[in-house]
Amino acid sequence: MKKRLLAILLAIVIAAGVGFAGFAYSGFVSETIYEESTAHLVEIFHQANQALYNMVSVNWSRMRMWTPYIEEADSEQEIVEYLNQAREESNFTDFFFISRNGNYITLEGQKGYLDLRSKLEDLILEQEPIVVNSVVPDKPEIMVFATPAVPNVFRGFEYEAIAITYNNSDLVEALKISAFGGKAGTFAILPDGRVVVDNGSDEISNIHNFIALMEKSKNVTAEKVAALQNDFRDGKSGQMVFDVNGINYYLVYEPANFQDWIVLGIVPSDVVNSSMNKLQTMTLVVVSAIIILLALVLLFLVIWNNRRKLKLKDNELIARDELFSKLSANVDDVFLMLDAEKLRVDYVSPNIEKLLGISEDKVKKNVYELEKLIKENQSSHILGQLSDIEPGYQKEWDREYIHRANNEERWFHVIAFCSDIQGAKKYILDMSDRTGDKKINQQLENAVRTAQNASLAKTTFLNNMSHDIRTPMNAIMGFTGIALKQDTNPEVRNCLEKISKSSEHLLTLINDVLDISRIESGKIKFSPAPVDITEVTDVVLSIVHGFLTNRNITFNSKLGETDTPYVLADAVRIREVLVNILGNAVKFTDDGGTITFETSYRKGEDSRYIVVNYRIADTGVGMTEEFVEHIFDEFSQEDNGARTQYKGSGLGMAISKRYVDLMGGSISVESKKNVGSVFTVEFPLELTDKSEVQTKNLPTENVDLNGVKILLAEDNELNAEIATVQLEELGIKVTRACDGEETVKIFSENPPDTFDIIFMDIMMPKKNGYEATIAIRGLPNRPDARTIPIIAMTANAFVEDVQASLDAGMNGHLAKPIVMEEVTKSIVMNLNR
Amino acid sequence: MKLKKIVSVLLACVMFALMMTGCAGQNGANDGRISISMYMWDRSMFKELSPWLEEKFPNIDFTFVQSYNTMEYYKDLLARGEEMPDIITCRRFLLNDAAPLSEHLADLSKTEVAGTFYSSYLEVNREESGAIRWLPMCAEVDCIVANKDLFDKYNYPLPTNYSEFVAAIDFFEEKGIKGFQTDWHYDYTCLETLQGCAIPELMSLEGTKWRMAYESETTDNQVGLDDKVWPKVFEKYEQFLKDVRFQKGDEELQFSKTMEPFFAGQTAMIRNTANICDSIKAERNMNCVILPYFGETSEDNWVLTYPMCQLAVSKKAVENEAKKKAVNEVLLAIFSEEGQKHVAAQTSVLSYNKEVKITPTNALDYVQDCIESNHLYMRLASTEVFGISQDVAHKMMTGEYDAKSAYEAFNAQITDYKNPEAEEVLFTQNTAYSNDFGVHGSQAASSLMNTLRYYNDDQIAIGYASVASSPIFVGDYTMQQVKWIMTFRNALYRGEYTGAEIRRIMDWLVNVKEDGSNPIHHRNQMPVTSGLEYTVTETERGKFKLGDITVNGQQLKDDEVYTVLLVGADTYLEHPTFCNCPMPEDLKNKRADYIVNDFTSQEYIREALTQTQQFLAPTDYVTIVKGY
Repeated sequence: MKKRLLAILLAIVIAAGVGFAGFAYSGFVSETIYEESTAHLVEIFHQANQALYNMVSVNWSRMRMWTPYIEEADSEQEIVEYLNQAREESNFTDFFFISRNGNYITLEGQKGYLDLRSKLEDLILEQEPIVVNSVVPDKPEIMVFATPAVPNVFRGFEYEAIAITYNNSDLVEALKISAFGGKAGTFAILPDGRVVVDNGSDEISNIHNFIALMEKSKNVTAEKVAALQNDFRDGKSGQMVFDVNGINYYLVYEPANFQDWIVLGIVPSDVVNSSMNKLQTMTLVVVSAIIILLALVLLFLVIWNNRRKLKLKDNELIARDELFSKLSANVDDVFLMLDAEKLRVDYVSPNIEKLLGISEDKVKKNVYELEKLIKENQSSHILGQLSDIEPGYQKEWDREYIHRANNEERWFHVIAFCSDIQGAKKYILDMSDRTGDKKINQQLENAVRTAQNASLAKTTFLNNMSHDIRTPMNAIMGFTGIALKQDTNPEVRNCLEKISKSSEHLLTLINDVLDISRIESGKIKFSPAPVDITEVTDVVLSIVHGFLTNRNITFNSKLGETDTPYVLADAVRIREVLVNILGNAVKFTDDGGTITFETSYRKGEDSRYIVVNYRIADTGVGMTEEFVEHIFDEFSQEDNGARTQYKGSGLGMAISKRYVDLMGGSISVESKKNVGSVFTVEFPLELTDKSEVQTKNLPTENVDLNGVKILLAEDNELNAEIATVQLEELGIKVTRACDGEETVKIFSENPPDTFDIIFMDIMMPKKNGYEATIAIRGLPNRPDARTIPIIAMTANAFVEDVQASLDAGMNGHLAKPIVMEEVTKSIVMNLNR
Repeated sequence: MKLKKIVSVLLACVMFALMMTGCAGQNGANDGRISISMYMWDRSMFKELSPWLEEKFPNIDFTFVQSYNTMEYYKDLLARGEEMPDIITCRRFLLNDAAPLSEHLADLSKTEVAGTFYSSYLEVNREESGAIRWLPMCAEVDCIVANKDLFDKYNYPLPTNYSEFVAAIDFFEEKGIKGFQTDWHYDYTCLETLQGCAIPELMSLEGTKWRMAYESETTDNQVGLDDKVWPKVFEKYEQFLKDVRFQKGDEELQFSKTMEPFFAGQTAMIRNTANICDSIKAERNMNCVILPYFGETSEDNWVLTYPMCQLAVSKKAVENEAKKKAVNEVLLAIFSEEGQKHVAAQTSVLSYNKEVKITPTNALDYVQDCIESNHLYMRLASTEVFGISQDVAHKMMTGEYDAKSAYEAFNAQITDYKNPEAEEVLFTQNTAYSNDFGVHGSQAASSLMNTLRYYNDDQIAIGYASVASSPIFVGDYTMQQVKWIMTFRNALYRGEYTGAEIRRIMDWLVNVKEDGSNPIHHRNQMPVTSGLEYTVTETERGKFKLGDITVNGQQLKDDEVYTVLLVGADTYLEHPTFCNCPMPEDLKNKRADYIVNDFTSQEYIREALTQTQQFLAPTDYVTIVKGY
């Protein structure tokens, strides 16, 4: 396309160049001819004009010569003879004796009045020779040459001047030129263009005003006419070309040196230029012939080149056609081209029969046959929507077709384009068979579903495991606690205490295993909430102080200060990480050793953040370099015999690392065997406003819960017994329900204020805890049902379990095995005690 | 494919070029009709010239308006805020008088038509700037008209010099026939007789020198009379008045009062134009000839001439190229031989144009010597010379001035001329009326007729043709301005006619006659009526058919007698070359000649306005419809 454009441009440039050269040559030749011709004309007309001037001069000389003769002549007859001879020599028309008043008498005795107007005064009074135009009715205009004479009498007529007259046309005989075969015209005009003497040629004659004639010339502009007038007025010479009736003329003008006449010479330009024109014509013919020849050669080259390119193009088209034919036969796309006006099928790819089981011919005959293949329940069909598409735009549909031959369902993605092809609006349809993709997608969906089911099963398993392990653990730990409160002998007590410690250890193991599983399955989410970060440290320290009981370890804490302690943080997770590290420090440091806990704060990269740094250093057993590298791996425990001494799951540091990563922080460790370890933990925490932070008023230790009435929903007998015993120890009155349905029943059948609070197990027969809560909250005519605190007390201990409890309308959540401190806090919080 | 494209592009280029050429060829062509307004100084120009022009230029819409013979009329039009008409004509002309109009008129010096003139005739009209704005129409000969039949009857030879002229007068006086008489009342008669009796003096070296000085005078440098030439002029005029036996009271004589005795063979010689001389010959079969103004010898005889009128073109008319072209063509036509013949209307004139040959009629046989010897005197015709000549000549006629005091009075006035008619304000007009001709006629013409009818207390007034020379303006009207409102040379008649006769009068004025004679060549020449309304159908351009007639809205009753005022000139309606529509004799006989003795319509409207002090409101006197 670009090449073609360039070729056209080149052709235009060459044509323009040739044209320009032709014009330039023609212009040059014309100019040369004009200059040569006008120079020639100027010379000819100047000579003629000079002849006129000479004639006038001669007239004056002669008249001066005649005057003394007339004065001295012996008789009037002599005068007549003398002047008649002079007339023959000078060709004047008449001789006049002129009186003082302008009357005249001719040699023949004719009398009359010669209108000399103001010139009469010059002639008679000023005694000056004059030349003046005059007229006698019905006679040609005359030119009068008059000169003063000594007053005298001729034939009784008193005269004071003599004059000769010329008919204007005769006068300009002098201007006649024989050149140009009589085709030259001569005019004498006045400065305003009025023709005094018309000595015109056959073509131009009988004109009255030369300026008016020039105004009719098509080639002479108004400016040129004005300039010509100025030349006439100023008595300047010049030459130009003008045209009359389509014929060009050369005009040469110059002042006549006589009156204010201007003499014009006019010759048709082709007469002047006949030889030059012949040369020009010949040259033009030769040049034209060369140009035509060149043009023909160029044309031939262009045609040859075009044919060659056309052939190449044809081959290319055939190849493309073959390619398209093969492609369309083998691809899973059916192509159609439709005429927009009548939806006539211009083209349909032959693979339509393979893909849709309908022949090309059928579709070509009636494109609506295609529509019939669309599955019946599909929404609006396609052809009806094509008219909405503007040229340059497209529309797409997914449609399910029924293969006409085998009734197989096939999915097509149809794209319709609208194109303007050389003024005709066309629709191009690409019906892409997506049946294969559709099937693969379905398989993938099934796989995803299976995976999701497996994940769900794992979650369910974990939940069940958690629940099912915690339930007996609750019983073990509960009853152990109850037993320890009894007054037993030291051996039994020792056994009970060991059971208690083993239970706690087992619970920790279980929690760690569950946690790591949940982390890996993505169940654990980072839940930042507004907190005072210094309070987190305080809680950790209070926990660690518990660990140090009965230990001889020096514990140093260096707590940094910050002006901006209010942050968004998952305080529970941070606490777990720190407690885990500090717990290990206590665990792996022998008595007499030292543990140092340091906190510091610095500004984050973004002003909205601070970075809190925790450093825990101990003088414990330390770790080998090899172990340090795997400290954060799951189940990593240094095999140094310490395992028997320091029991753990091997998951603590792995969990801590996951938590730190989850919270965008970092954890690192430096350790030297038998020297000690230093753990550094950093969290970037987003700052928040103080007002966002809720200060929890922890219940005091000695809370009086005596008389509190609790409805305890618990299906497990052991758990129910433990809970009942522990609660009743606090003076709480407990009513037990064995399942959800009974819980609802007991609550609804008892008047308001029968219960202060409901502890609700979740996994119960008949109605689980959520359903029971919803049923209670929905009890009609029981306003207290919507306000009574319901606390979940369940072995379902995960975060999502807590949320599920709250979503069901409960006020709080206690995880089994129950810790009485938490139970007390929950009661106090909900009853405002 | 590519070749096809190239060929297509080339073809397109050729087509485009051809189209452009076609466009260029059409450039400047004007399909629309061109309107040209032409003001004719006198109704005589309507005789042949206007119909000929309309026929010759069918694509031009002409509006012909009868205007006035003086330059002052056009000056007044401009002063009233009117635009200069496209072509104007004026009888009384002096280049100096025309100077105030120059800025409104086109320079014709470079036109083709100007080139058709003999230079010496045109140079008189050349301004200092070189511009030529006025072109003289063919020359009218205005001398002494002799009833040759009378001379032949008494076997008395036609005079050849002044003494023979006086002798002839004496001869005829002895026979009881007035030797010479003329309409001394008019300013032009005074001017021409004053100058005509002393042409040799006026054409002497001193006379021509003075005249050139006078024609070149400026406002600041007023030229008085020459003290050598002009005293002789007045002496000769004093003698001339005696020689022609001027009698006291003759100074009031108007045209008809001199013509009737001449027609009746009671006067041997009168002053008049070759035009009138020819008309008399043609209409009355009298053998009239033109005699010159006589000098002492036949070689001193001169013929007094003046251009029939001068023609000028408004500057505005040549601003538009198409209109300029049309105007130039019209001018070339008018000044062509054929055009000049139509201007002359078959009377004896002399041409100023090179290629025009108008063979004089026999009326000029007796001045042929003068013509051949170029003894053609062009009257001095400035506005002030007309006015002063009338004043001084009349006072010489009444004996108030002798030659010397006449000379002094003339000399005093010519350097400080004031036209008394242009000074006194008669009344102030409150409402303007247009003279544009619409389907209901001309408001100005209607106003004039209503004013005349009101003044005369007639039931109906009928003007033969357009009677308004200009629109009626708001503002002061002097005596002079009043004169210019109404067309010149209308006679007034009064008669009592039945409704049926009135219908015949209207039929006479409107309908095309059986022989094709058409009283209305142009729709603005439609009769103007007052107290009578009529409908006409324009069956084709310039031809009309009379329809309903009502009197003050009531049907015209055939048997009822109405008093009717008729305003117009029979001459032109009856003239065979004009429309050849003579008034039916029975109707003509019923009208009483001039309701006020010798009043022209011009004088009568002046009288009327003295009473009404206002041009009365116009009425829709005519309704023109197109049809068959």
